[in-house]
Amino acid sequence: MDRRTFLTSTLGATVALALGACTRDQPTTQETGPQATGQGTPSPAGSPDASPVAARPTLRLPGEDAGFPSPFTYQRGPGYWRMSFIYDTLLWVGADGEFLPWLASDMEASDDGLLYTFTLRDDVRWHDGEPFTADDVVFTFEYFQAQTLSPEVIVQPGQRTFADQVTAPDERTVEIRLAEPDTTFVDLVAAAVPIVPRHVWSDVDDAARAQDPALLIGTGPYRLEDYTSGEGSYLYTANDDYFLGAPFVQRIEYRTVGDPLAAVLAGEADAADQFGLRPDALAPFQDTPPFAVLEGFPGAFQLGLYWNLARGGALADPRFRHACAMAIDRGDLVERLFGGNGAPGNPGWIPPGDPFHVDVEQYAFDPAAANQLLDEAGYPRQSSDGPRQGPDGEPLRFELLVTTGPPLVAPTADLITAALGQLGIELSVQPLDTPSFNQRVIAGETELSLITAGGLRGYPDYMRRVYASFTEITQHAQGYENAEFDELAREQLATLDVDERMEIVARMQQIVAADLPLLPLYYPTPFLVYNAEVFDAWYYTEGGFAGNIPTVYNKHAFITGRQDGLEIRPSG
Amino acid sequence: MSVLRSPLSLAGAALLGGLLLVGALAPVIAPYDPHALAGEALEAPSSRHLLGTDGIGQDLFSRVLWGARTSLTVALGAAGLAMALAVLVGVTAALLGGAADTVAMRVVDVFLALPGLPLLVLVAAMVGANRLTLILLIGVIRWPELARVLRGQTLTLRQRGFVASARGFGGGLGWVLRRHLVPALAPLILAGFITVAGTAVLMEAGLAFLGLSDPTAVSWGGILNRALLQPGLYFTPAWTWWVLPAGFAITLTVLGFTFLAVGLEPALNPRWRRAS
Repeated sequence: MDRRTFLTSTLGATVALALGACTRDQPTTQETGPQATGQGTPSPAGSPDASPVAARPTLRLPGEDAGFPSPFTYQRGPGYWRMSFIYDTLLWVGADGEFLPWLASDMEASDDGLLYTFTLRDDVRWHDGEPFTADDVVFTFEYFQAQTLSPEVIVQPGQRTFADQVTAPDERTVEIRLAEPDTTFVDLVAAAVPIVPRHVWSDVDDAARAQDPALLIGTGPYRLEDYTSGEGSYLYTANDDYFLGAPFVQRIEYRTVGDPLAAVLAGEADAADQFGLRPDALAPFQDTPPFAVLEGFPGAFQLGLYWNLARGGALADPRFRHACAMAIDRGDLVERLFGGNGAPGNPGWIPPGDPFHVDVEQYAFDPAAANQLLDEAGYPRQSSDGPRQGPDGEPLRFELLVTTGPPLVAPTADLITAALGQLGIELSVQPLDTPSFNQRVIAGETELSLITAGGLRGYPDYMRRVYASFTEITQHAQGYENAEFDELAREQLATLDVDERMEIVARMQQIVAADLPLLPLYYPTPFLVYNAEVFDAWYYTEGGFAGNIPTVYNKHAFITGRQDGLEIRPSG
Repeated sequence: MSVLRSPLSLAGAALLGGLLLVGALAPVIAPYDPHALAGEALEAPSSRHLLGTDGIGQDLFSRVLWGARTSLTVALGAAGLAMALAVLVGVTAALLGGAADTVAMRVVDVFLALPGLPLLVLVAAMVGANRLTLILLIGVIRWPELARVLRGQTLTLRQRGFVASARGFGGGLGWVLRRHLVPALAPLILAGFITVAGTAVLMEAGLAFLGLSDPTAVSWGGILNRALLQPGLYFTPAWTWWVLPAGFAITLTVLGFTFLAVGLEPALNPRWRRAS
């Protein structure tokens, strides 16, 4: 079915009329200004002036299976945003990372940061017509706590200590009391936990296994019409009774396509997002209406080189790790892999451009200094092309564990192996599929490894989860223990004063850059190529939503058709 | 035999001989280490890089030469293994007969019932496919049908006078196998070897192309896999030097094996011989 017949068959005469109307000059549709942040601004071809958008568009997007989109079964970030179209949160996040009133029209925090009081909107109904009340919010927190969910469900208030202290003094008020102050509360709870209806879920015992589409009753702007697992297709239609008004984007279709870029060019998809596109891959979309390119913030994704300190020997020697870092030209990696469309990795974890970022030791590319450092540190090299030896006389040979999942990893492994080979450090690359890879990483059975991480901006607490000795995630610094860091990491979590917290986080960055248990290699720039005639209000959410999910698929843009505010853009 | 000098078999032999030579001499004739960063990313073919460079600046000419090693090692290894298993099971079963034959043929049936390619993809995805596992897998998948053919041919040979006389004069099983059966079966074994080798090249390339084999190994399928993961590759001319040579190399190799098999068929296939 081509686009035209599809539109006529689903939307009927309304769209035909509206399409006819949109050729007229519509000043109201042109107020959508670029963000004050300066980043994430569409290129000229994509500005509303150049190409007015058809009324209430249908968006066709490249699909990917991210699980059944219930709040208890979705998978990772892509699953979260597919779920967020159906379910709402107390607050939500707009383009510049500002919190927007959502199910709650107001939030008040006590001075000690222990009590949050939410006033709920009184005009919200569930998709089945039942009214939304404070009781549903209380139920949501209770219910999450009672469920055992996959770690791929990235927002789980049940794992947090305060979840059982949620009360509803009246139908429109919710109070959440914390045991201790938590600077991530608003990001990861108030603007992240999807509120579910008591009358639907109270009878469901095992939410992790429940996959009945009839359960997907939310308050959200879209209803799920169809989901085909495996194929990764999700079809949504707008909930025209939405409390903010009828959503601007009428229909969202995620469908599998072969090559997403080619699909956009061929008019089979309306947008495709990808990291680190080379300039020549972007060229067909630049200055070629109706196509446009949106550039995101570097730091949405990184690949890190990890040394497992617990293995001892050279791996536990900071001088060895510093020498490795100096042998890798991170600028050259960005040049080779992304044609320059990215930023070199920052040893202090937080990428440049983030408000919490401070300058730390960079270990600039200097093979001569790296060689000298290894000579001095007691890793002699007998011949100019042989391997170096450790103090025990054993050659410096390590396994570099990589996953076959993300396409960037294999070429990067080649580049790292070549760079360290120059130093006399021999790496043998061991590729594994993602589940086995994660298993070995969590079990500590690694020497060197390459590990991906997403959403590094706007989330300084990520450092605690990565470097503190008391946390456990795949991205965790392997075998790393620094008592001072642990102390600071706990302290920043409870420090409500932003300036004070920035100082603590600055010190944390200096510590990890000096100890260097892992080296972020690069941040490829995220790009969205899109058809501006179909939809032009795309933006990359500063700092991401639901904590740090860095993507263009923020439902706020689809609902309002704008990059800011809550007013819904009038249809063309 | 005149068929050995038929144009097809000569062309096939020449192609494969050339490729074997390239594979054997790759370390000598390749201008660069296939893993080394020999130039800038996506350089067009030039005198420095005969086939240009790939997405990170590795010399594609060197990678194609080294890729011959992977392809041919897997092809010859898998074919050797499949034939060894087929001879062992097929001929022994036919000679021993009785219960041994029945058991062996039921085992063959079980293996024949396994869907080859899906099994290969599954195992490759689960344990990873390096050269050794590929050789083992393709060998294990392909031996049963050959074992059947060899068993059938051995059964007919057994009825022939010379085998019966050899056994009558006290020749043991091993003696009969070495002295009479293997020479008589040699054309069949050779034909099977060539067929398996040809399909093994395609399977290896296919798995690497799907990204299921060792992503750091240098192979033709691997070159294609990396090329196709490059977003927007076809928006630039780079695909002409990144995709085409590796694809061409795979085609040539498979063509070589096919020519050889088709050219030799009249000499190798017992039915052909009976007909002529």
